[in-house]
Amino acid sequence: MIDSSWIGYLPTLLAGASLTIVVTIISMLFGTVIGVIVALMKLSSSRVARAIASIYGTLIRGLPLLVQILLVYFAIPAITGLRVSGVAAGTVAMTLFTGAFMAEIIRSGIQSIDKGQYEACRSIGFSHWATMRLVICPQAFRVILPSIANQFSITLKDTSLLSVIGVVELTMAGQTIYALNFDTIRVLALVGIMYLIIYLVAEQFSGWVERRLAR
Amino acid sequence: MKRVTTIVASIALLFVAASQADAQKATEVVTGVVTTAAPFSYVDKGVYTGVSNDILAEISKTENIKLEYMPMKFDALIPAVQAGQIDMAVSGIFVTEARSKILDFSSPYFTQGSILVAPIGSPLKSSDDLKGKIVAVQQGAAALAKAKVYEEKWDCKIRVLQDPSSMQMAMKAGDIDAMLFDSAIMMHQIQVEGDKPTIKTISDVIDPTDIAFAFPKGSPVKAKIDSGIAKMKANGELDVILQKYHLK
Repeated sequence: MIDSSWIGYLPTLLAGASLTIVVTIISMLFGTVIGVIVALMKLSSSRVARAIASIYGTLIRGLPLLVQILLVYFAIPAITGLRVSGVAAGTVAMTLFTGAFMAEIIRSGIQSIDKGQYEACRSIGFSHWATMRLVICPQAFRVILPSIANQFSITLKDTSLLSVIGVVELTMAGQTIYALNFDTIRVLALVGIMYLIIYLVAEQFSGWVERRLAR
Repeated sequence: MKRVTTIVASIALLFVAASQADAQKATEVVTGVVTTAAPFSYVDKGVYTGVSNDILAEISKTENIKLEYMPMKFDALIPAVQAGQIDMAVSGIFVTEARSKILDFSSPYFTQGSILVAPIGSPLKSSDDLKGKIVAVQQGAAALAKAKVYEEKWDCKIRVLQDPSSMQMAMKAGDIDAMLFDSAIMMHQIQVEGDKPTIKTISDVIDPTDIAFAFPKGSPVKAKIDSGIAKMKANGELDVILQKYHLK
């Protein structure tokens, strides 16, 4: 029936792992874009922008991720009449989730830069945009890099929740195998090792970026 | 030579046109399919297989249906039909009264019930021994609706878990004493395990119920599937599939 060897499990698990990586990276990329926008809204002088940003943050951080995933998956078709695949709905949910946390990370990073720097920039005639781009953001990025790496590991592991809406990512790929042959512990161990490998690669990468920036 | 080329080209064109006409005629059906319900519906080497999927594959040929698969967990399957995410739900779905109120069912293609299962070394022998024990039931399963009745009848505690694999892990770990689950799936597992069984049945089949495909209310797909099942019952194809999975 099914090839119950370590090697026999690999094709299914690797397919699942690549979907996990793809969903994680897309969520991190778009989550960062959302994060930058929302962080700027939070720091802006407009009361409306601050209110919208804070409602978004409260909703995402206040609801369990699993509930958010189910809501996106079941509510989008109910409201719009459109059909969305589990992968699409899941990626949207993960992106919204990651975006809220990235916004907090980026905001605190920008705020961690001393006020004196803004004043110094103004005194030598930098515009606000130039100050942000050339002085504040490069320093803020160095500060928040470890937090971004941390968020990556959270997003990576939380994609396993997408299995409930039928996304055959790494966890669900494992489940489809042991549902058949009941080799639960071995398959779960292999799944765990794969998550660890993905995490370690990401950790090495962020360490490398950090060292380069320190130079 | 030129003529030969022309003939070949026109035949090829005809073929393309015919296949396009075919593709236009085929009804596309988005099919939510559970991947963890052997022997009814599971994935083997990347192919959706099992009794329910084999039947569907046959029907898709006779009724000219194009199946668009969407893998699912069982507990999301029926909500997905309700939400209009899928045109048809495939697993080993029990036809129950509560579900009939919100879904349409195809004509049944199999009948199974629930069965009590305990670890092979367990001292439990029948439902009489369940007093004070913990019995697991699957989230969203038909048996769950009757769990309260069983709880009183057997004087046991019911614990709801997500899928049969977690139920079995909990049973191995000694966290639960027995599980109540689809009889055909449990029998299939015992068959697969052969001379190295890890579980044993401790009851007869309880509440035999029809198994069918599910659709949103008023679905036009139902008539096609029903006609396909009727044809398979008439020509013996259905029995061939059931025998293949040791269900007949």
